[in-house]
Amino acid sequence: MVLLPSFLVKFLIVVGIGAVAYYGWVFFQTKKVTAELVRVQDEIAAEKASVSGIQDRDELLTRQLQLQSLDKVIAKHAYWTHVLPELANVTLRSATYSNIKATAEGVISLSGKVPTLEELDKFLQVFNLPEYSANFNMVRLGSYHVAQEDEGTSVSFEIKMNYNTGLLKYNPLLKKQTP
Amino acid sequence: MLVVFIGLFYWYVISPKAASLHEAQSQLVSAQQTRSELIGSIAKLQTLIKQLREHYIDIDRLDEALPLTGSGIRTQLLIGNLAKSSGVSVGDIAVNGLNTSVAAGNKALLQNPYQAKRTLNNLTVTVSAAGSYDQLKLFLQKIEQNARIMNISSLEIGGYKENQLNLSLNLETYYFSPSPTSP
Repeated sequence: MVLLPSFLVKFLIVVGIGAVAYYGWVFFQTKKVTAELVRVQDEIAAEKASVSGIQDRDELLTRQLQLQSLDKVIAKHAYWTHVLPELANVTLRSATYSNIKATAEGVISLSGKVPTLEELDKFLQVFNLPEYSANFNMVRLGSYHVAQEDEGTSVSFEIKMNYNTGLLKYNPLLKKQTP
Repeated sequence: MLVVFIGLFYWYVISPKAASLHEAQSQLVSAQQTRSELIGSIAKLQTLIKQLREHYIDIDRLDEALPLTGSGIRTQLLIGNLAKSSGVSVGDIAVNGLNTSVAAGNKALLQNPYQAKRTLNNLTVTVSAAGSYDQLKLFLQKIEQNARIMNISSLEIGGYKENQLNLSLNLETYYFSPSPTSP
């Protein structure tokens, strides 16, 4: 039988006692932490339960969603009163409209009258000028006919054109131009 | 022998217990974090509720812009009043889009108006009116600037006769009502 030196035996005994003490500490710590965990989880459950009982919570949530929906609706809000003056600005004084139909998708259909074919040509040429074509473009002449009237001739026409849908958006700084 | 005993004791007894302690500690940290977030959220909720009560004028405006009920009658009356105050004579106002709405008598909703799940709905309105250019422009302006949000999707102006023009409008107005499946 081999005998270990006494200091090594003492050392191993100390290590053994230390290991048992460490186990005891771990055991009690685990119990303590587990108890604390249960307490915190109970508190969380109680807080969660109290949320649904908070007065006016449902109204707040409804109002938040209502406000989000309002934002969507406002984004689509159209200011047609901005389009009509802009259309007047690109129209020759000699032209009169008998029908204007416009959609929010950016298309205007017009029917109107001018005194002569030369005036109709001028009316169309206005839309080739960059300063007037910014908001109205792609003008399509659908039909026109010259009629003899008591005061002279008149040319009835129908056109379709695209307009800048940005005009429908709120813009207090819209620039006014006159041909 | 003692060395072997200490080794086995550590390996089979202390080590699993220490791992269990470590796991419990991380669960505790996570739970404490959840609790403090929850307490923060509840405090924020209460602050928002307080702000909601303080901003009752804004809430009234919000209800005017996007009502919680889709009353076609009130929409029609509103448009009629706008036309009247603009000097425009109204030929016809037709309101569509109320097929699924309960107009009145929803007891569950009356008892707790904010518990129901709500969605954005729209009413489509067609308006035929007549007036001078300035009157029609004023009418359009009043529609555009009204506290109730009304979006004109298309318009037609024509039929000039004795300084009068005919105006035909298609517009959408909105309400935030309980979805049909809600009580």
